Amino acid sequence: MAAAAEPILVVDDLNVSFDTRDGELRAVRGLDFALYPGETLGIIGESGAGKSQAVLAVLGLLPTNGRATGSARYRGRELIGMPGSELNAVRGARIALVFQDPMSSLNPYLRIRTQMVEVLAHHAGLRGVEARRRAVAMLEAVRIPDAVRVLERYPHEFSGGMRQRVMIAMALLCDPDILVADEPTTALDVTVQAQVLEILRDLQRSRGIATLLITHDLGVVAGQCDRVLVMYAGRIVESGSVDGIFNQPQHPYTADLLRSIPRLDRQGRLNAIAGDPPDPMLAPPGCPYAPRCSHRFERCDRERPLLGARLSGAAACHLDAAGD
Amino acid sequence: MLAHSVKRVVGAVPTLFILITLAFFMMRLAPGGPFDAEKALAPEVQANLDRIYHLDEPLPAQYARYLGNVVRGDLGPSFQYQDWTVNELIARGLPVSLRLGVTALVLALLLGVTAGTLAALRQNAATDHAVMTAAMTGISIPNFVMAPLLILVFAVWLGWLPAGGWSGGALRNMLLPVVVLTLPLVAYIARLTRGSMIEVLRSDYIRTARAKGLPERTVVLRHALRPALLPVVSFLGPAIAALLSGSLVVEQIFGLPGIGRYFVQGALNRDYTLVMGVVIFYGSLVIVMNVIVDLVYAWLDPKVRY
Ligand SMILES: Nc1ncnc2c1ncn2[C@@H]1O[C@H](COP(=O)(O)OP(=O)(O)OP(=O)(O)O)[C@@H](O)[C@H]1O
Ligand SMILES: [Mg+2]
Repeated sequence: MAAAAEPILVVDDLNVSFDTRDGELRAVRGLDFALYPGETLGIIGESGAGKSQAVLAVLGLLPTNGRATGSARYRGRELIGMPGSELNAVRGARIALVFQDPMSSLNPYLRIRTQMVEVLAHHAGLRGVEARRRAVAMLEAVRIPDAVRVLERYPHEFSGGMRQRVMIAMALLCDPDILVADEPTTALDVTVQAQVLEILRDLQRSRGIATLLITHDLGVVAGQCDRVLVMYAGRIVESGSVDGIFNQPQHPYTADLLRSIPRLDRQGRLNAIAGDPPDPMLAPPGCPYAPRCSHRFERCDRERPLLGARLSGAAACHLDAAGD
Repeated sequence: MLAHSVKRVVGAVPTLFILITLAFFMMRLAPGGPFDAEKALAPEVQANLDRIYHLDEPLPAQYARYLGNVVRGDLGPSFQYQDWTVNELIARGLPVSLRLGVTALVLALLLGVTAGTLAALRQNAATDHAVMTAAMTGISIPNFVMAPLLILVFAVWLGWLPAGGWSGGALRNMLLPVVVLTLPLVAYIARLTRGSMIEVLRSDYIRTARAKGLPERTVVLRHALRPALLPVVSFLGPAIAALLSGSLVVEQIFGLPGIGRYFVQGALNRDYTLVMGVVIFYGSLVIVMNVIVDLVYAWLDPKVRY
């Protein structure tokens, strides 16, 4: 598959921490992954696992109290620590982002036209009629009817689904190599979710955009992704192909996630596992999932398992290593 | 939009009516009359004056007559400045007060918004603390304290600036009065801007703007400034009212021939018509300015539609 090609984004030992009133909060702890051209890589995990902060860190978009260390190389260029002015040539043009909440992610005070054209003006030097034409074409590509009129409107005049399409159109204006979509459909109605996902999939496949898709929803993973990373408490606990993960989960957390999907409703959110994730302020020894794990044994409390190769993909668990 | 503003202006008529009525009766209830002097006037003279100015009529008749005149835009003759009508006095003082007020407001907006934005961008850094400390000081010193203090320092001790007077609106003469009027407003606007700017900069759409790779200047000026200004625009109504009342004090202390000074002199001399005239004029001004502020707000915020 894509694995033969050079990865387009390589994240290596990425750490994100926040200064908080109670001390340092470590949201992401040594994240490693690679994204290959044209593939869709899913990142799943419970709320607070560090999914959003990890991708924000890569693009230098952390909140002001956040700090990233480690490495994220886009086509060999180090993004972590890159000055903002240089980063601005990459984000929005080569790596584009779509956020979770379309209701708040578009600027309510500016016309859609202003918000789209400024991307073209800044990255491609396009202005006036030419920029408008590109914007209209992109809106039509995300199947927005009456695109010429839509350009002159303000975000509040549209539904969530329409706004998210506008966000997607805006993200794809400069033909990015990478699209990062952070729970792009979580805030939408179920029927609208399906439409938006379909648009996303079509565009991404037809244009060969590598996609990093963050989601809570295993149904979305199954429908959209080639490979998956399972994140828990700031780390990857399992990675592998979608088939492998769904059919033979290697980490008890992944298995529990799969079990937590309600049978009849594949849209189920990942909150049905008993217990809570560990406090991100603390770093106890041992496996972070141990307190909630049904396979827990003595070694799990003592020593944190590292990500190790499995039949398909990798997992961070003592079980296999112990010959279980 | 136009219909809305007309509606707003018409809707202000009852407010204005209440204002006129209150002003009229409060002036009349205060002890003493306009022609009280050290030496009592001869009864015939007093009676004559009262007749000329209709002060011999019963109060309701006086009130009705006054109201009728005001509706026609006639604020009546001044009791104290013989041969002058109130309209003429206001027209005479207006250029001074207007120049003072507009200068103060424009300065307050420019300085306040700039300082507030810089403070928000350098949150908790030295700039931020400096701006906020200066702002707190500006807000907490009342104008009737600040004016004499500034006169003491810059006119009496240092001798750099005149202690008062207008001199046709020379810069030297404008400086201290404008500072006294502007400083509290700058302070308030800086605080407002800082607070709203910090909040706006945290919002999702600012993160989107940054994710689009826009330069910081564009993010702040195009994406953040407009929403951050909305609370400042809302504050303009009260700010204009504060300027008007501040000008009463400032014009008096610095001896500037503006409307505020006529007002204070009128109040001291029981010049009924002059005081009421100024109240009505300033009241209408505040109402009209508030309508304009509303329109500016609607222009800034596309979600507001009339
Ligand atoms: N500005 C901040 N200051 C302190 N902690 C933060 C800040 N932003 C995020 N965090 C913390 O970082 C951790 C990871 O957050 P992140 O947003 O990446 O979670 P997530 O996996 O995206 O979850 P969700 O599915 O809810 O979006 C959380 O514990 C969160 O509380
Ligand atoms: Mg998130």
